[in-house]
Amino acid sequence: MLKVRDDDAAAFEELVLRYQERLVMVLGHLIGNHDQAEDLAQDVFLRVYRARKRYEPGAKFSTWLFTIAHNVAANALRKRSRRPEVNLVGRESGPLGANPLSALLQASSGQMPARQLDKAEMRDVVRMAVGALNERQRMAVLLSKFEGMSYADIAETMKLTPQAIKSLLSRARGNLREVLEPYFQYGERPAEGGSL
Amino acid sequence: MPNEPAGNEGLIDEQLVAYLDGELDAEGSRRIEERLSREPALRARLQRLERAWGMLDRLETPPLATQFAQSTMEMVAVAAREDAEKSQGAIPRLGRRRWAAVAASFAAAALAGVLTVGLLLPDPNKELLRDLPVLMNLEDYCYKDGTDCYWADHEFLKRLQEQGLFVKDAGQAAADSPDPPDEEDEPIDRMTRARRKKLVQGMPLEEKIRLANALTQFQALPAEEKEQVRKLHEQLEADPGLRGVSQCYHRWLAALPAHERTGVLKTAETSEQRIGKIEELLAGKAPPSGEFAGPKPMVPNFEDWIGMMHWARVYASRNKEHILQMHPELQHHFAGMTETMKERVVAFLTFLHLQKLNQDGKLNPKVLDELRGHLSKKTQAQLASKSAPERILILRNWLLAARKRIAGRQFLESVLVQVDDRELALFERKLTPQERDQLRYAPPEKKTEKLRGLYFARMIKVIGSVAPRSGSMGRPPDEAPVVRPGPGGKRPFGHRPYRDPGFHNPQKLRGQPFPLDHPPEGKRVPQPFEQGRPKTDEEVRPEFGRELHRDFPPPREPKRP
Repeated sequence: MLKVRDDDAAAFEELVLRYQERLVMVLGHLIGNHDQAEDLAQDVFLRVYRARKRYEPGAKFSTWLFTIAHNVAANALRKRSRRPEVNLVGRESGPLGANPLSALLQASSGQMPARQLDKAEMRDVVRMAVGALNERQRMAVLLSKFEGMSYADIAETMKLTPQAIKSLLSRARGNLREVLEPYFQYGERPAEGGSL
Repeated sequence: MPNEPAGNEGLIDEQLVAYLDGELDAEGSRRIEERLSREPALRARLQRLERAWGMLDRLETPPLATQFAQSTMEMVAVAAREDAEKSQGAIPRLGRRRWAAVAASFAAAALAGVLTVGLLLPDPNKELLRDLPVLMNLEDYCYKDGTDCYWADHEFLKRLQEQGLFVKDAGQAAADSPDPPDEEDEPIDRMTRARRKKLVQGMPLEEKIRLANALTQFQALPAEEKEQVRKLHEQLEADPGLRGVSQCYHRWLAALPAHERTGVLKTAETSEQRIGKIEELLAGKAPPSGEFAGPKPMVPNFEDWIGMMHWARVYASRNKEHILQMHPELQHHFAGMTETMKERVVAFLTFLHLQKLNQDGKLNPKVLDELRGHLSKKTQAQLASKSAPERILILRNWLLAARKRIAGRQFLESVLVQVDDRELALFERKLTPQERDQLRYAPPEKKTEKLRGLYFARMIKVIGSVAPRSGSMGRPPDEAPVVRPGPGGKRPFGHRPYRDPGFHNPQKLRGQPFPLDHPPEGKRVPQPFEQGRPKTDEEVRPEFGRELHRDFPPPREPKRP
C-alpha cells in the first residue's frame, strides 16, 4: 500500500488481485446481492485509490480497506431501504420456497418437516440466518469469521469500541445459534435423495 | 442454563464467544475453563455456539467476473486521468507531469485500456447508454481531415445517392456482408438500458476503447451539434441504402491522399463543387491490378500465417472426403505417407482449393469469417474495428498473398510445417527404395537433414502432381529417377536424376507461380497421364453439388476492377 501511495500502478493491481475475492464475498453477504457486491467492490477500490495519500504507514491495510467497504455497503443499504421497489417476494426458486425466513422461524419453533436438507438448502438456511442479523451484527460476524479480524481490528473498522464489538458478536452468534440449532440434526443429504 | 438468571445468560454468551475467539485474557480464560469442566450444560452451550459458527463455512460466493481486476484497473486509470485534468490548473508544472505519469502508468497496467467510469460503476453513465447507437457509429459520421472533423450531412448524402455515387459499392458491400442480420438480433436502438449496459460490458477491450473515445468526442460537442448527429443517425437508420452510401463515401475519403481529401472537404465550397470534385477523382482512380477493389489491406504477421494454415487444417479435417474425392490420383500416394503428412497434404489442397474459389470470387464470406477466428488476437482486434466489407476484402487479399508464399519450400519447411523426430521416424519407414538409397549415401551427420529434405520433397511432389504443368514442379509422380549415384557409382541407365528444385535450390521456387495455377483461358496444358487427371470443380460439382456448396456456396460475383 505504501507503493500504491507513491502511485505504483503494479502494486495497486496486486492489491486488487489479493483482496478482490474477499472483498466481494464480504460485501455480497453484507448486502445480499452478489452482482451489486462486485460493483460496490470496484467502488471501494476506487476510493482506496483516491484516498491513497491519506494512508498511514503503521495502519493495517485490511482494516482500512474494510472500513471503506463498510461505509460503501452502509450507503448502499441506506439507498436501497429508501427505494420503493423493495423485493417483497422472496426467492421463489430457492429450496426453502418463497419465504425462507418463515421457514427458518418454523424450524426454530420445531415445526420443520422431518426430512434431511440437501447442500443447497443448508446453504440457503445459513445465508438466511446471516441475512436475518442486523447490519452491524452481520458486518462483525463476516469480519470475524472470514477475515479473522481481532475485536480491536473490527472495532477500528466499524468505528466502535472493542467492548461494543464483543457484545455485538455475542448477540450475533447467539442469534445464529438460535436460528441454526434445529438444523444441526439434519446435516446433508445427497442431492438426488429425499423429497417432501 | 437453569441456574443462571436470565440477564446473565447474555453475559455468559459473551464470555463463551470471546473464549472461542481467543479474546479473553488469561484470567478470564481460566475462569471459563473451570466452569466448563464443572458444568455440562455450559459445555453443551459452547458446543452449540461453535457448531452454529462452523455452519457459516457453508456460505459460498459465486465466482468473480473474469475481467474484474482488469475492469477495476481501467476504472482507476480513468480516475487518474480525470484527476490529472482537474488538477492541471492548480498544480505546478512538475506536479502536472507526475499526475500525467500516474495516469499513464495505471492505463498501462490496465493493458492500455481507458474506459469511461460510466461503463462499470453501479450507476452507469446515462449519456453513454442513451446515445450508445450513435456512439457506435460515430466514426462513420465524422470525416477526418488531419485534426479536423467534418460531420456527415444528410442532404449531401442524398445528393450523392441521387447522382448514383457510391450506390453500387454500397449494394456490393451489403451483399458481401458475412453476417446478415438475424431476425432474433435486437437492434441497439431498441434495447433497454440494462441490455445496452450488458452489451457494453461484454465488449472486447479494443471496442471499449473506441467507444470511450467516441463518448469523449461526442460529449465535447455543443448541444446543437449533438442533436444534429443524433438526427443524422435516426435518418440513416431509417434508410439502410443511404447508410451504405455514407459508409462507402467515408471509406473512400479515408483512403484518399491527404491533399485530395482536403480538396473534397475543405476547398470545395458548395455541394455541387464537392460532388464535381468527387466525380473527377472517381473517374481518375482505379484500384491497383491484381487486387480486389477496396481499401489497402493490413499486413498479416507471423502468427497470422500460422493461423491461416491452422484454419486450412481445421477446414480440411471437416471436408477431407470431398477434397480427396476431387483428387483420386492421390490415393495411391497416401499409402506411402504418414498420417500427419496425409493431413498436411489435405490441408494444403484445401487451402489451394479455397484459394481457387477466392480468386474466382466464389468464396463464401462465412468461410472468411471462420478464418478470422484463427488469426492472432491483435489482428482479430484490428479487423473487428473494420466494417464487414472491409474485412472480407482484407482477408481475400491475404489469401491471394498466401498463395505465393506457400509455394516456397523454405517457407513451408521452416515456418508452416514443423516436422519433429517422431514424424521423421515414421516417415523413414515409408521411404521408397530410391529414397532409402539417397538416405544411405548421405553422411551420418547429415542424415536427419536429408530425411527432412525427402519429407518435403515427397509433399511437394504429391501436391505438385495434382495439376501437372510444364516445368519441374509438374513432374508426374510415377516418373522414376530418384536415384542418386553413390560415391564412385554410375547413374543407372535410362534414369534422369530427379531434381526437386525446392530441395536443391530453394531460390528457384521463390516467385514461381504455384503448380496448381490453372492455365490461362483457352490454353490447355497437355496431361501426360489422363488416368490420374484431377477432376475439375465443374466435374466434381454435379456429383457433390449440395455437399460442396454447403461450405462453398457461390455468392454473387464481386465487382472486378
